[in-house]
Amino acid sequence: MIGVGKIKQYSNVLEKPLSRGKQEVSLSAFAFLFSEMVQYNQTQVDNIAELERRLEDAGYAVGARVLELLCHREKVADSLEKGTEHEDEYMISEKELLVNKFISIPKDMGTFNCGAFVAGIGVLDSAGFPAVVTAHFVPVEGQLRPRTTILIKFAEEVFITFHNLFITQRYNSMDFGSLWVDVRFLDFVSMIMKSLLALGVGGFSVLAHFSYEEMSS
Amino acid sequence: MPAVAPRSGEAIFASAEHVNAELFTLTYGAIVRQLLTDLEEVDEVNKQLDQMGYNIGVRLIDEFLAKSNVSRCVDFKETAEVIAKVGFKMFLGVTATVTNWDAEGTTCSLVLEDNPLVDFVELPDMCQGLHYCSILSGVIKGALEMVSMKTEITWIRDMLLGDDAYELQVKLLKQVPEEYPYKDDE
Repeated sequence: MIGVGKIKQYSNVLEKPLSRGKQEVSLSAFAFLFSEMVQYNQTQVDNIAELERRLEDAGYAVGARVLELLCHREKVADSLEKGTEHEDEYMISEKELLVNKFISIPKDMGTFNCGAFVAGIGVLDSAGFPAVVTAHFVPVEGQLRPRTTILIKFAEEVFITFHNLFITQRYNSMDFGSLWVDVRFLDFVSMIMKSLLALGVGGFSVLAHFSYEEMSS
Repeated sequence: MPAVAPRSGEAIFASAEHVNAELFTLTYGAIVRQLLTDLEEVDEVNKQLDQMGYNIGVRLIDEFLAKSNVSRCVDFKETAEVIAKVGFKMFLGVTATVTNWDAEGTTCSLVLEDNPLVDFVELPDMCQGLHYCSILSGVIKGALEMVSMKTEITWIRDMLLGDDAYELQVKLLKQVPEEYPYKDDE
């Protein structure tokens, strides 16, 4: 039969070579699919918090797999410059988040943000780092639609761990001790960015440290 | 208005906005996973996926017609070719092959050479009755219904169930006459 010859069969999905991740589908195909996902989940919940939680769960399932994929595909990069101060919150901001592009929120749904799905993708605990990742709308002056901000807040224990590591390394008087800690720490943020970028969920333009106060003001 | 030449699937796909196929694949995977958790029964999951596909098809046909400039197909054979070469291409970036026509020209198979839904997928034993790609059959059914064709779509072959290709059988049940006085835009 025509065309069938092109299909290669593998007895096991693990034998299949990993694609290089360059394939694309149309944005509308994704938008249709995403919209069905949101609509289906709407039928399964009573309130918005629940809906966001379910979308986050779905995103988390995606994120965990992308992370794995990236780890197989490349060594975690050293692209982020070394930070000076540790802050426990990072923000990624996007004017029009891909998943929100064709979404308008009905008035009665208040602050519901489909970015919850993206926030779920960014959840790092599959990489061993508990973090709370949430999506928020932030109104921009002079613009009709708000921008979406993904807030990454690392759990306190991460910092304790890092702190301990830092001290241990110092006591061992290893010159590169502190550097290692910093670089590792930034790697996680870099990893989220990479996951999101690799998926093309956004060309994130801002990566900065913010404290919670700065954010809410 | 002068007639506009139909555009090829490649041309439409090339000019469309894209997203990474892995995001698409994994998002679909996440949906199927949610359904399996919520509904538990594999048959129910098939039904729900089909329904979601149908909902998509009903809306997708508008975009398809608007972007492709495809005019009315002379027969079902042409319709099948258009789905395979233009429809699949413009949304998923892949094409299907149309084969296995019956004598009446109302039943045919769409064979997918490449299927962006199934990357990284392997079905566990408990999911053996699952037609993972049921959403596709739903889309085609929904879209065709919007252009007055009632169809029945069956999965014949599914690589995830051990077959050598993805094959969808599309059977034209009836062509519903248009109720509204309708004229093709010239």
